[in-house]
Amino acid sequence: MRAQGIAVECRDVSVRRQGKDILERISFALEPGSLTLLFGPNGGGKSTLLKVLVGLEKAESGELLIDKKPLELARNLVGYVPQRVIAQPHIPLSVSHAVLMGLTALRGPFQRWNNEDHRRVSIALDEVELGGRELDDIRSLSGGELQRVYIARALVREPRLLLLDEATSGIDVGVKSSILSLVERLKERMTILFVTHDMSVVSEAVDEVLCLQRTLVAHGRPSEALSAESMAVMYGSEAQPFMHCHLPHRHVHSGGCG
Amino acid sequence: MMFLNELFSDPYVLRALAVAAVAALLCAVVGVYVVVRGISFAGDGLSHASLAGAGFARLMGIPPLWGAVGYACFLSALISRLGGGGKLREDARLAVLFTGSMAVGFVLLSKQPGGALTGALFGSLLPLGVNDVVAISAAAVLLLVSVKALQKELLLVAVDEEFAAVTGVSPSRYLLVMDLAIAFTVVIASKAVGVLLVSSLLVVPPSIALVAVRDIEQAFSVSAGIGVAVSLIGVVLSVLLDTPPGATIALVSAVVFIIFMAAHRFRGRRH
Repeated sequence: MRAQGIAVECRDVSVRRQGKDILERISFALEPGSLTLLFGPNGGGKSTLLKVLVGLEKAESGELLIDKKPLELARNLVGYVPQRVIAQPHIPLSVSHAVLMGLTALRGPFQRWNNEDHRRVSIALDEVELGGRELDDIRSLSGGELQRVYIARALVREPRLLLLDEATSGIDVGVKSSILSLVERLKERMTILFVTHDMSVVSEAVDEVLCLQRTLVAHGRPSEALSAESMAVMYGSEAQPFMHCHLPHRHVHSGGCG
Repeated sequence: MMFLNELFSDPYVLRALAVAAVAALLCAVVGVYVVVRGISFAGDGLSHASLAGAGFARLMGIPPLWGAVGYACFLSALISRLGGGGKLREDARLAVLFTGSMAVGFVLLSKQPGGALTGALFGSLLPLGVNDVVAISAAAVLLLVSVKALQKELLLVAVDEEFAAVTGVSPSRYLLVMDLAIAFTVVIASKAVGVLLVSSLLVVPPSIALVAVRDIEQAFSVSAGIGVAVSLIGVVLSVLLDTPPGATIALVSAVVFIIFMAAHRFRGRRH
């Protein structure tokens, strides 16, 4: 039986930094197997909320449950793709080794990589269409390829919740489209939270949108959450969503919505 | 040929070669983490600071090596705990700690008879006894086995601290392990090349290896090969030319580094 996504519940989570509210009483629930966009302007608290979800930042108050458990007990169920991945110019790292690193915590100290680990790396690389590139140095990859390596590093852990932070920022349209198609495929076996400030990633595969500007401005189906009112709260009264077939559509094409 | 036969039958030279090779091997392996983390100058500073430990040890009548190891470990742990933040940048705090400790070492060792200060600064390979060789080798083997056993975790933390933390591999724990390994290494290697020159063994072989290989895991063995080779050549040259062994090893390292980087750049232009 294939693995399924898991539920996430975030109750009244608040974060303060140097006396300033960064997140204020954020509450939402993610359904198992759903694809949710965490959407909002720069500085609106998206990355902070994601850091709380992966345990990099402590919430001042509130509760977070992943698969009905606190994060400490559910860490191995979570896959994380960080924002703005770059290869460090002074560190030679092969594609396969970069992906293997995702398994470090699962193997534990004093244990060496085994055949099963290498098999999982091959599967993860095939999934992101980088099969056969195991020996390449990640410093020689394009931005889109590198992003896919980091997605493979998250997938190799066989997560049931995948968190992606601005996974399509700074890459060209073709690569962006292939990453979004991959995310849509992954939805079959995991819950996905995709952080973005780019409305063009909204598609019919997206189940829900969380609009964040320090507080949760809106939460619901894309056509409901991305309303003129919520956009005005997030970006000011001038902002309007570009609606296409009742959705802010990512594909620009000349024909109808068909 | 006759000369080389004589050279390699001299027990002093053999002991010097053994300790130089062990120190170089240790530096070459641990140095990969130093270079990857971009803390080459911290390693250099730590070796200078260990002078204070050697000074205190002599004052209390315990072996200077253990005093230096203890002090370097204490300093590493202190630096890890200080962390970032505050109004003073970390490099300024490190500079104050390292130069302050070095000054204490200078003052204490300058009052000691028998060229203790010169030996600590420039290394003292040739007068080493069998017990020194055994103690240094045993400590080095223990350290190498520990670092190898934790290689996966240490590499992950050195390459991507944030991802390590997200997946449950504690960066603070493994950074402390790494810092303690660096502290032990610089003190052991200081015995061979002296505190002033130890960073040549800690930085040069790993730097060459990291440029030469396609994956960081290969860098450990390449770096070890280069480190052991330059230190052995350095000791032999120092005996032949009657020059200080530590300085000769550092000089050979520098020459190898310059030749390698020039060849690498030339190759890069051709391709």
